[in-house]
Parts: sequence; structure tokens; C-alpha cells
Amino acid sequence: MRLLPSVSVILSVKNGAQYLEESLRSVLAQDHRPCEILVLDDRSTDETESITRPFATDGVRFIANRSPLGIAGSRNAGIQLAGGQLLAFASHDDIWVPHKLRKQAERFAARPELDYCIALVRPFLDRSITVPPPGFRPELVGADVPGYLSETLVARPRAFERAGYFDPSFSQGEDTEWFARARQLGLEMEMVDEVLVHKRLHTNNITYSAARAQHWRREILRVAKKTLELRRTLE
Amino acid sequence: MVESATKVRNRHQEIAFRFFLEYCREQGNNCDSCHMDPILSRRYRVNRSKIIFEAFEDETVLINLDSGSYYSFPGSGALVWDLISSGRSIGEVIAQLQHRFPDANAEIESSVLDFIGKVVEERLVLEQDAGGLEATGEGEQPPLRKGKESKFEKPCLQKYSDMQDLLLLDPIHEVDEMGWPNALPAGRNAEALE
Repeated sequence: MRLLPSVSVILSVKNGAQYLEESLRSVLAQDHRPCEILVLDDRSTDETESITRPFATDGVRFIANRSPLGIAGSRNAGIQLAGGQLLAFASHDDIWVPHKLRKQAERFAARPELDYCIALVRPFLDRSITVPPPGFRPELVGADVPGYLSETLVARPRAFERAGYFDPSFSQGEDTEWFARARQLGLEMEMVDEVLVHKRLHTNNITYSAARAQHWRREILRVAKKTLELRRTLE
Repeated sequence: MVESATKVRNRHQEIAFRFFLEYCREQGNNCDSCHMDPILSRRYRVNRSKIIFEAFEDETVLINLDSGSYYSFPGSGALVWDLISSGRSIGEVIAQLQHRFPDANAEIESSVLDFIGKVVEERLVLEQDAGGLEATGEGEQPPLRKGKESKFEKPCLQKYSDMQDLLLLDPIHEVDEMGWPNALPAGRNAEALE
């Protein structure tokens, strides 16, 4: 049996107490066990730390950001601390299927040229809500969606050396921007054609007030602008 | 004298050619008429159900949220877009640019028609009803943006479709205001869907 590369899981969180345990358990239930799980806490004021600490014996390391870094900054800090041959990113409220890391690690083992790997994601309604958040396309609930999200991303460390880290000037589109940048720079990507992450929709997340939707759209316009500028420097 | 159809076809994109044909029909091929009033009076509005855009210093960037294509309008294209999207008629757009670039009078009319034709073809704008003036209102003339251009260059529409799968992704990103209070970057003339 081929030896699979080791995986560090980086979980960035702020005030994620509500769903964090369930998310951590799905990471710990992986049949390709991560070599470490780094929980980067961005100065939570809820029970995030007390929920995380008991998992220390399972290899979960709680790291408190000394100053607020935001979601992108927290992930970047995790990238710098991680020691695994592969880096995976988790969120505090999503669920990984038990074979997620194995499926993706197998791709890297089979393809030395592979830089990063994503998968399909399936949004689901948390038990606390019966309808999707306002503005969320209802047909996506339960659908299998291409997961250009950090939550499906597994990457070799060299992917970040080549493409750079997540841009902390983005607060919603930081992963979209990274994927666009990695694509422009010609990194090798593969998408596993299977749902490996169940994305929880709940009352506290996402973007669906008008102001937040506007902010998202301004961010993707900035992503397009950055992409144009990068393209021109590469030409 | 009205130019021959062949000359027109060679000089303009297909949409602009239709403009001239329509003008010729409406004028009854009257060679004494040198005004393209019906076409020049056209006004447009942004196709806001699909299009978002932002004016950056050196270009305007648009995204079609339905197709995932994105566009760049550098230089004079951004100027034309500013004017068209604020409800100026084609004639007013041409006049403003001719005022700004008096040495390029002859070139401006055809290239602006060309460009607007492409913008219309991409469905970035929709034609205004005859009675519907844009929100800026009659008589309001938003100042032409100050650009670095000292010489007129033809407006061009640059279209890219290499990020469709990324830009079509519904924003199922996590933003918990309590959790991620990042300072927002300063925006510049951002247009958002209402």
C-alpha cells in the first residue's frame, strides 16, 4: 500500500464555539489521520478555547493569535507553523466526510506535479434553520458545488511559496483571490469529483444581508482587478 | 454624402454597422442629412440584474455574474462607460470626447459607436426607453473623469472568461461580523446590485 503524505490541518476560528466540536470530530475521524491539527484562534470571546483544549491529547494544538489577524492572516500563520507534507484547511462549522484527506492525499501521491487539490462541496441547512438564509440560492442547498473554498483545499507547501499566501486585505474573497492567483501562475490543480465537505448554512454565517452581498461583490471586483494586473505582469 | 454600405461594413463592427443602416433607412438615404439623430440620441442603462462594475484608477472592471466573464475598459473605454452608464446619450458621449480630444474628432465618432456596439452586444447595458432618462437626470452633467490620457486612443473592450468557475460560485463564504472584523479596504466608485 502506497504511503500517503502527512497532512497538517489548519483550522482558523473566531467565536466558533457553537459548531467547533462537531467540526473537530469530523477532522479527527479521518481515515488518513492528520499528523497535526492547528487551531488558530483569532481572539475569541466565547468558549472556543475551552472546547478545543480537551482535544490536545488527540493532537489538536490551540494557538491564540497575539493580535487580531483576520481569517486570511490566521490561515497564513498556520501555514508558517505547519510541518506536514500537505496542508489542509478546515472551518469551525463544516463537516468533512471521513475519507476526505485520504482521497486528496492519494491524488498527491499519484501526481508529484500536483500543487493543490479541491473537491465538491454540498451546502446543508443547520438544524437551527428551516430555510436558507435570505439571498442564498435555494437550489444550491443539497447540491454538489465545485468547492473553490479553503475548506476543500489541500495544498503542498510549495503552492504557497509559488503563489504566495492568502491576501489579508480580503475579508470574504481571500480564497477566491488565492485560487485566481494560483491559476494565473500556472499551478497544477485537481478537483476530486466527489463531495468531501458538507458546508453548514446557519444564522450566523455568510453574506446575505444587502450590505454584505455588496461587500462580497466589491471583493470579487477586486479579485478580477488583481487578476488583470497579474496577467499583465506575466505577459 | 452617405458612405457606401461596403465602406461602412469594413470600418465598423456588426452592431455599429446596423446603427448606420438604421440611420440610412430612417433618413430615406437622404444624402443632404448629416445628422444621425435617432442613433445619437440613444441612451442606455447598466444591466444591473447581471452586471457589477468598479472604476479603478486606470480602468473600469466589470463582471457578468451570470456568465462569470469579466471585462476591462482601460483609458477612453472607461470614459465612455462612465458617460453611458450615467445616462448620457451616444451623441453626448461623442461630443464630450471630441471636446476633450479635439485632434481626434474624426476618429472618435466611429470608434465610440464601435465600442458601444460591443457593449450592447455583450448585454452589459440595455437601451433606455425613449421617455426614460437616467437617474442623473436631465441637465445634470457628471464631470468627465480626469484621466492621464493626453492623446485619444480607441476605446476597447477586453473580455476574459478564464475565471468563470470562480466568479460563478455563489458566495457561500463565511463572514461572521463578530468573528472577522477586518477593516474594509477603501472602495472607489463601486457599483453594486441593489
